Amino acid sequence: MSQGMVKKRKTASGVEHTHGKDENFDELLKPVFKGKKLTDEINTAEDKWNLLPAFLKVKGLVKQHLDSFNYFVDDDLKKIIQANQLILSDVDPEFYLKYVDIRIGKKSSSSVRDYLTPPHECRLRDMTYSAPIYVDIEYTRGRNIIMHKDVEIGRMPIMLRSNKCILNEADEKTMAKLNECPLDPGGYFIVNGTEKVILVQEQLSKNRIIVEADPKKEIVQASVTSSTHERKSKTYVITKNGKIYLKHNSIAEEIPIVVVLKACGIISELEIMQLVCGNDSSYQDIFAVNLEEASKLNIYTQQQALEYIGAKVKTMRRQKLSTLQEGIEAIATTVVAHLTVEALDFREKALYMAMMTRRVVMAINNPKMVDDRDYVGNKRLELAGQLISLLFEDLFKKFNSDFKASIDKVLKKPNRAMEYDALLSINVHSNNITSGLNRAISTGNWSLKRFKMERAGVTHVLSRLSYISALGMMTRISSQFEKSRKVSGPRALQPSQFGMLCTADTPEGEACGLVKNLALMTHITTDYDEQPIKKLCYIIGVEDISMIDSASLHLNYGIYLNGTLIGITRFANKFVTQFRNLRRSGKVSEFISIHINTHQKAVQIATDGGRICRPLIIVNGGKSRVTAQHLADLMNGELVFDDFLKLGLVEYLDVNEENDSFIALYEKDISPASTHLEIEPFTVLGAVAGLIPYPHHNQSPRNTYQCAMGKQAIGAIAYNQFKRIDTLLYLMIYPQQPMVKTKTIELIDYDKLPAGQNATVAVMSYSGYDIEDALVLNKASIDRGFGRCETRRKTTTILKRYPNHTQDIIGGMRVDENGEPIWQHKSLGPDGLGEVGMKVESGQIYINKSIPLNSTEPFSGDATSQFKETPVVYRAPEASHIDQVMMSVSDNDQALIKVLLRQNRRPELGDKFSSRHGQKGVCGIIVKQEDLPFNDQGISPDIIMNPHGFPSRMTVGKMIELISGKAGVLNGSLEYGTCFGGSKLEDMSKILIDQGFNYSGKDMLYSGITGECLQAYIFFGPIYYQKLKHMVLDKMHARARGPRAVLTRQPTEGRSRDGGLRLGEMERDCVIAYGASQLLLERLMISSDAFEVDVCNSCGLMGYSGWCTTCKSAENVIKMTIPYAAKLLFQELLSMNIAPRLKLDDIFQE
Amino acid sequence: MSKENNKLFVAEEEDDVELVLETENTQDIEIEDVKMIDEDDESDENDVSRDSDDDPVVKEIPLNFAGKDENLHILQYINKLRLINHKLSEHPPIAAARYKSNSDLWEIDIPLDVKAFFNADKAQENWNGVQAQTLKGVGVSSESQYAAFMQDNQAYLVPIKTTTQLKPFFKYIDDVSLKKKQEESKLNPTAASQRAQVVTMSVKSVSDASQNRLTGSLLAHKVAEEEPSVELNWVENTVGQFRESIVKEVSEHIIKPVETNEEYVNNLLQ
Repeated sequence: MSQGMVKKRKTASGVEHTHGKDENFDELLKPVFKGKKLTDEINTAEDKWNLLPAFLKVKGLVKQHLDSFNYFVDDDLKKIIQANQLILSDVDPEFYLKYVDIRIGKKSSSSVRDYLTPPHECRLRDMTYSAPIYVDIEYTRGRNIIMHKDVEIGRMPIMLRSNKCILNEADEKTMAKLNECPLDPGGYFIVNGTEKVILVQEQLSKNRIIVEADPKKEIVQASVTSSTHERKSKTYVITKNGKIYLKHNSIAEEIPIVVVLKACGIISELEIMQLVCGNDSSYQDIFAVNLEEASKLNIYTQQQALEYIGAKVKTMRRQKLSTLQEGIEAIATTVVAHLTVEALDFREKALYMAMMTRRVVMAINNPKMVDDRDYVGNKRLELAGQLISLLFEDLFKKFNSDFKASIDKVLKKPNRAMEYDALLSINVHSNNITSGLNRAISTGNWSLKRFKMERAGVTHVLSRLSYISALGMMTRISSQFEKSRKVSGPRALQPSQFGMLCTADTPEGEACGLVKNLALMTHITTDYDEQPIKKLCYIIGVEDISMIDSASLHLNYGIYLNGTLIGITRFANKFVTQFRNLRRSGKVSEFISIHINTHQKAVQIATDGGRICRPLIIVNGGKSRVTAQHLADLMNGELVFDDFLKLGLVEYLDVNEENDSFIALYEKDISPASTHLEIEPFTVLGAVAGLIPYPHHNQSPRNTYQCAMGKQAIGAIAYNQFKRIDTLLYLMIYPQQPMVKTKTIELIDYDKLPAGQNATVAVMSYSGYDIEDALVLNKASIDRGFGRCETRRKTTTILKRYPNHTQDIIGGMRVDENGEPIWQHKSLGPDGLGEVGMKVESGQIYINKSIPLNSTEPFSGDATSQFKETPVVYRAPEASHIDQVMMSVSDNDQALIKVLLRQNRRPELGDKFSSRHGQKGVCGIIVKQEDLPFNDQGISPDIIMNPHGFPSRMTVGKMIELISGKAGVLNGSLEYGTCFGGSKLEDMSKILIDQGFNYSGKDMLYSGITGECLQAYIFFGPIYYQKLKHMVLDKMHARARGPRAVLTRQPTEGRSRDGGLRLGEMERDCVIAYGASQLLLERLMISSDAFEVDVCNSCGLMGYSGWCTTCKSAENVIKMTIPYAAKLLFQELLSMNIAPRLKLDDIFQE
Repeated sequence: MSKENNKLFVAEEEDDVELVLETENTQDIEIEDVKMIDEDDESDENDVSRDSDDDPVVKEIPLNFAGKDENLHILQYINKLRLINHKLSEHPPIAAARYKSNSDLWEIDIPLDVKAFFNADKAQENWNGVQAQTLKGVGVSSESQYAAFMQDNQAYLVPIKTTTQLKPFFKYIDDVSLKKKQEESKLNPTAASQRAQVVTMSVKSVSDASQNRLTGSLLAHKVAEEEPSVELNWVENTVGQFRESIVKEVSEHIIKPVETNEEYVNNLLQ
């Protein structure tokens, strides 16, 4: 290879320079130079990025959705069933019904899964892609206990590519057979034919203490949002006038904290002091005042404290409880609800309250000891599985209570002829679960009765604008914060989101910073059982909290499992090391995190779901555990990513643990103290930002702009794009993969479904039609197919059936005297539907539907006369072609017709284009190729871009893309512009020089008009350009006359209603200022809603037809023209008993 | 651990404990808990191997396990000062001990020290002549916790059933405040209680009964309240005897592990 290079160089650059250049080119000859093959020496530093494709192979980009859904259908459903397993009758104490097991889409008797209608068929036929939910039940019938298996209680929408989906682990062949795209990531649902995504929701972590301070108001508060299957509630420990209180929604007023602790059974004030303050005298000073507060209330015993609290509880109960019982109930279940006390011992709760208090005391003592709400480690992501789980449990409870009600109804009747079989009434309610799930997913309204929660906008229609937009949607995270609030904190870039959330991909405007995207290598955890971990902790030497005396509590490190104190240890570091070793050896789930918080003297272990984590290479004693051999094995296929986890080479760290680690960015940065090594730094970006070449050379907002625009680029959508019938689809006719790729592009298969073309760009001024970022396009390029795209639009019609057995029909075509179809019916076939391939112009009909006039009364024989034509007429400025016609039957047995209309579009003036660097522009002029400049090789540009686009935007990445692209073209290779890496500029320049070009990418061009050489060298080369969906054809609009609104008689608004162009307030001001009063009159009245009224000059009110109804005379009635809106106003005022009277004057007096 | 008879409070390191109480019965001790041996062996080994540098093995001690039906409870005196731990003479005597076995509820009376700082008149007047301080606590089952003693260079481990933290329980205050409340309500009859009330009787439907079931902690409190407590005799100076019985029992059996080391570790981590 090196020899070949030397030869090439000789031929390219002449003999006499050869000698001098040899040393400069030595670098090129080294084996580490790019273009290295698999057989070459393996270099860890360069090749560890291969872990990334291995990761994506097992995890995939939407794995978080799939994992979450799989966890729900496999584990969570069983837990829900177990929690609600018994149905008892109030009437018959003998009766019970018990759920034993639950399965989705598979009967216990059969070994194979049920047949499901394939997803693409569901899309086409407007059906829901779902699988039956089977339960095994055990119940009593009379005296017998009956076991019944596989009872269907409803249907569950199935997430595509989850383990219940027929596409799960399907090979490319099966996918093709099912009309599915193998590159489609899945992770969404199909409900009533539309693809719905449940967006990832970001929330503050549950069941954790968050301490906040408001220094101005001198308030410190610790709060915890408790969340259980049954309820959600929030408990606060707050300061007020320097004293500490407990606050809870269902307790009427704040309770002094000492009273609460006494109610929890910590009677002794010494012990309270020990629990809250330990030995720290400054904490004791702060806290002491609270003890006085309790003694002022004369509360000394637990019973007194409980009664004090019980008297303040304000919950509604069906049964009457004594104040003592209310107090017990409040402490046991209401306060800090996630630690529900079932027995007599309140110590766990007492400790939790004491810990909250301690955190408050700490924050009072040192204002820096507060938590950050925006810290990613304090957030949890809620995914599809969890949301559906909440919904399903709600529906299942409803289902059970309905079921129980109908059982009771039957059992109440004393003399039944037969033994009652409860199974008979189970099917009655099964539709509730199915429709409840469907409705929630299709509307996005999540209403949960038990939490009194109403959430809207949980689901969105999957955007199929381009492959990237679909992918971007799957990795999107929406926040619960209000968009309208003007806060900077939650919107700001958090240092802790490094590697977890994409730093570039966020929308501009109101949702800026609130909507985020996952980075490339993130994983979101699912719930994991606490008990085994708790047991494990005790095994490796944690002292159980229930046996520890209060005095020694704060002398040691506390072990917190999901925020709850479970024990203490004296040797925190040793414990953590042991725990990590167990995790690395695979004895504990890899997604359980552990870290030390020295400020709080705490070891935090987290097993809960929704934590964001990512894999990192483990470093031991200053050496990466992943060696060259491991990577060689990985590339040979002997190891997969999971093996790296099992071998303890790589581990997942969540945000909290990451912040307890010392991570080296590159192998050269490893120091003896390092604990981890980054797999690849470019994984800080997400899938969408990963498309940008050389993003590390761009000004940061430009990358953000590109993230928004990349989703609007027209390109290939999926391999099955021509089989799809979507409402609106944009396709590029000749998409190309970019000359300058990134590793991300390859990983997400953007090179297989690209959205753009490599355009040869000349950066120069031309014609003056290129101001304000406008582009000059080459007409010949357009003729060759540059920027050409296709729009496909769907029309759906349902042939309804009516109660009187009539139904909508499709008529044939109408013909004229020659037997030819009339113009309107020209594109119709004999079946009354448009023929595939026919052109439809505005005004022509493509579905000739008729509806029966009489759809309610009984059918009376005569068929023909009773139909009214309601044809579907094509209305658009440009003609379309009929691409596909589909007739099928939907879920409810009604005929469903879908017609797909296609339009082929070539770029025109005003169409929007953008490069991958946030530089958008519209086409300003299309120039004949002859008039465009050309270079020595005779190449003329596809696009001319004005150089003024560069200085203020500082998109250096775009320039480097041009140079790399140019080098790639000349070299016959695809170059890389991967973030923090990619092909080096020096190497690219060398190739350019090698090929006889200027190192800087500038060429000498000749004017196409004069043929003269241009005065300056022109920056000239290929840049990947995207065509954006905003096209002139969809936006251009003008109107001379047209429809008017009924109420005001003013022209309608908007292009779709053929509306007028508004002369608004500001324009009006200009016209007034200019003094063009007649223009004003014309614009505001004559061309709008002029109306002639009869005004009575004596009473000033309006009459009609020359008659004043008030004065009962025609004497003083004068005709005049006013805006109809003004007339309307007068009448509306009259209706409110206000009489606006017009006093008329003649302005043209003699 | 000091050898002397029973003691309320033991050595510095384990500041609280240790009152070995033989309640209802001391049953024969059978040794069969194989796993436990492994557990300690395992952790010992681990510790040794890992920390051999800074924490060398000084001595190896044979372990003996007692295991079946000991009724060993630990009572922790949360409020005792650490200072008097070693001075047995300063430990107050126990006047009475009550136990509710279903609810694991302990109550222990300690006679008040009337010699100093005690106002007998006040006690008589205001607090129904209170004579003892009551300590109360709920037993928490303490699985895999052991009490150990050394004898003849051998360690003996006896499993502990529950641990109870004893806390002051001012029953006399609650009693007095209840009385006060009753008197108050008699003296100041509320409007509601004075008014003549129309009592309407309605037939309770069957379904109501089921809704009035108490659950969770309330139920536990009710059960505890209704359970009669067993008066226990407080016997001291039985530790030596107890030890001997353990030593005797243990010597009759030898425990052998039935699992391999690996199987055991896997079982542990499940």
